[in-house]
Amino acid sequence: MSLAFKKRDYFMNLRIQAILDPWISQALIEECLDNYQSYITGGFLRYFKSGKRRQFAIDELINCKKNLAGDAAKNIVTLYESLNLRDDSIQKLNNRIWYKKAKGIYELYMMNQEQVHSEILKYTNSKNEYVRMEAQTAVIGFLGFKGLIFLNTLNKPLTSWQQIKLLEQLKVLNLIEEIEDLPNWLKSENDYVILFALKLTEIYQQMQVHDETVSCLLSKNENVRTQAIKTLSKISNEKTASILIRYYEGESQRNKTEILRSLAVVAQERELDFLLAQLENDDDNLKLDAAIAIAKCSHDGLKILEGRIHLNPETNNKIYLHVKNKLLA
Amino acid sequence: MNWNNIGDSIANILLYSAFLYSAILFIFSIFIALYSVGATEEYMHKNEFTDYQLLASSIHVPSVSILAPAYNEGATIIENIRSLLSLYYTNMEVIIINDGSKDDTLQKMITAYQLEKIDFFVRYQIKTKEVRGVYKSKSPVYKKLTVVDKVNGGKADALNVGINVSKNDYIVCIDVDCILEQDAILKMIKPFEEETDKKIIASGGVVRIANSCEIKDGRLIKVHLPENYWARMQSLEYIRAFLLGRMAWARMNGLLLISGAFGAFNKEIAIKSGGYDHNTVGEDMELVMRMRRYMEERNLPYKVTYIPDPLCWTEAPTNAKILGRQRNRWTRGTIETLKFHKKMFLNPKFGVIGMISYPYWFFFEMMAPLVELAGFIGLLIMAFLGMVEWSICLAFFLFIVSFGYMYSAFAIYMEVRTYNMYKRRKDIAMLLLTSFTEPFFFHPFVVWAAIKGYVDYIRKKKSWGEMTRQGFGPVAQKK
Repeated sequence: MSLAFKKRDYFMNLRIQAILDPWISQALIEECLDNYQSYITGGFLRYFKSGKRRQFAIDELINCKKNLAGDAAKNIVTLYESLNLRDDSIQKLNNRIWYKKAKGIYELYMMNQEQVHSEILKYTNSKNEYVRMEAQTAVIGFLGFKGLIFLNTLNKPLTSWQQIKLLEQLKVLNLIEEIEDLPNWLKSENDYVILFALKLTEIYQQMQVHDETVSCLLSKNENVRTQAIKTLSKISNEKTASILIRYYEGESQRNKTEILRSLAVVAQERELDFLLAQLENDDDNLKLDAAIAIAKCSHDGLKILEGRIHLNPETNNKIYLHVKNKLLA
Repeated sequence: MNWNNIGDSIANILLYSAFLYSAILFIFSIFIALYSVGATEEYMHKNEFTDYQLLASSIHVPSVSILAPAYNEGATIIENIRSLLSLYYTNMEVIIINDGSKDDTLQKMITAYQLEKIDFFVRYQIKTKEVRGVYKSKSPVYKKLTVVDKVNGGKADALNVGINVSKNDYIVCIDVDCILEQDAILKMIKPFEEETDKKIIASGGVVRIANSCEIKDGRLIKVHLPENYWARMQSLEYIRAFLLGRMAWARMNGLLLISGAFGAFNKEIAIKSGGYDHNTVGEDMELVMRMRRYMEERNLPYKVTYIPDPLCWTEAPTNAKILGRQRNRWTRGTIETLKFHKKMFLNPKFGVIGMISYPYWFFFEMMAPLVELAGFIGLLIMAFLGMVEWSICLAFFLFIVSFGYMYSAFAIYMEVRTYNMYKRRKDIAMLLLTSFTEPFFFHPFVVWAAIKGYVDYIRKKKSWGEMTRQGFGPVAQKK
């Protein structure tokens, strides 16, 4: 029975596709779809009375728009609006069921319905994770970097997955200025906001918040500290290496590794003593990362490592060869 | 009291025990079936508009190491690696661990992928057999590929070497001859990236049967129901186990088993838990249990997730001999794992695992073949003594068989309703028809293989048993 329903839906979808395809083709050809009204006949509207058919039409238009830009994309939005499909999306937005609400937000955002952005903004701190995620995506889609305003009030989790999604959205936008609210976000009570702000700092090289980033090394949350170490290696100044070394001893094993990896990027000759001391560590991971940092921060790094082979021939020789191979690769 | 009374009493005790056992099993099965529906539907709603294509190319996705042990895979290894390298994910490395193959597996890889031995400092965070060499390709096209050659030590040891060599935070352990969907890694990693208050320590994915499917260049082109009876029966079994069972267990955070064919793990926790145990042939289940135990004993909030998307396709045994060996091994693996972690049995300190998952596995997975065999022998003895009320016995039998059919039919319905991999009506009808033979043919065979597993366990047999496969390469397709 279920298979029969699926088949029926499949054929219905094919029929709708056949009706929509000429429209979409027209939308792709014409620069501006001013005369769209001529396409909407009584029969056409009658056919699209059924909720299921309308939903399929929305899905089809969204799929189409994903691959388009410029006028063609605008024309797809015109078709969406002329069929009053926006009302369907609004209805979903106002639905109590979370996945319908999330779908409504998604559709409105995909169809550039910017006029509802303030309505959607309310949901960026929604209790439901998926409604929240879609709302955040939509707001960024509508307002670009200004859409990050929701971080000011967010007190719910912002998962790493959602952070990746938002960063990908922001990637296509040009950021010319400093991100104004970054210092506040780095001091947020919500660790997820701090994590995201640290990633923004790293990606957009926001050097002005170096001190705030250093403050994040004091966070109780290990993940925040890890990200702060990574970020500092990207916005480093002459003090960064010594700051990282200062925090090294009190850090977890994972973050010690992270600090050594960051030092491989930011350390200079003056950090050599500290790095050499780490070669005495019992942990092979730390030993190797320290060796890599030595090789990278000093002109004579490889020679230093070679000179230490006799101290523990088996291990030190392997480390030396590993680092040499890595640098050559 | 005469002998007749004693006989009656024993018969009654046996009958009521069997009835109680069956009743609990039925209740559990119904609960699992219904509970899994919510989990699957929720998953589908949550992922309805996730754009995996956009995210797969992101440089911000976490880095992943795919670990694939290979032992005497010379016939198919080149195709298998090609398939893995074509997966759609930016930050990944593919590590093939040649576990001391006796054939030309290593040489073939060296030639095909222009490999050269490099100086590599292996950190033995988990103790393993010796690594003979690490190879990387001279060609930048294969820069994601690392091949490790090691002394033979079994699958668990090979995976531990992979963990030691890997440089990323997440590891995905797979069987090298599996076919993965293009977006499989991204979907598997998503749960880790969605963690909030509970650490995601492992994530499992659905494994489906690839026999009779159309496969080209290591990619699944078209899904077909297996033509071979044994493989078809396993298709049904896998649908039931993965779409119903594991989804429900994952929903209640009580999942004990992630298939060795396809599972993702948090590397840090896997190392801290000691990695794979090479003293068991059920190393996949054992690792999940040990990782869980590690978290439970430290009172760390955690979760093991499961995703219902059909992401991994594997070749199922197509004859009784190979299937028997596989089920024999599974039984030994289950006994060994449950024995290693007997401390958790009905121990409230371990929460859902101790009070529900472990007892369920103990009574209804590990003990089930013994109970069935005992029931059968009991029935024979009672029949011989003329103590069987045949009408009740028949009614009981019909009830069990009908319940089994209904359960299978429900699993097939869920498959059609959700992922609908077998689109032809004929395939679905065939699957239903196949299920009719299960109680009379397939199930008794599986029970018998499990009993042999018990015997081998008592004999302390540790071997895997040779698992001959036909492979998916062009040669295999022609066969």
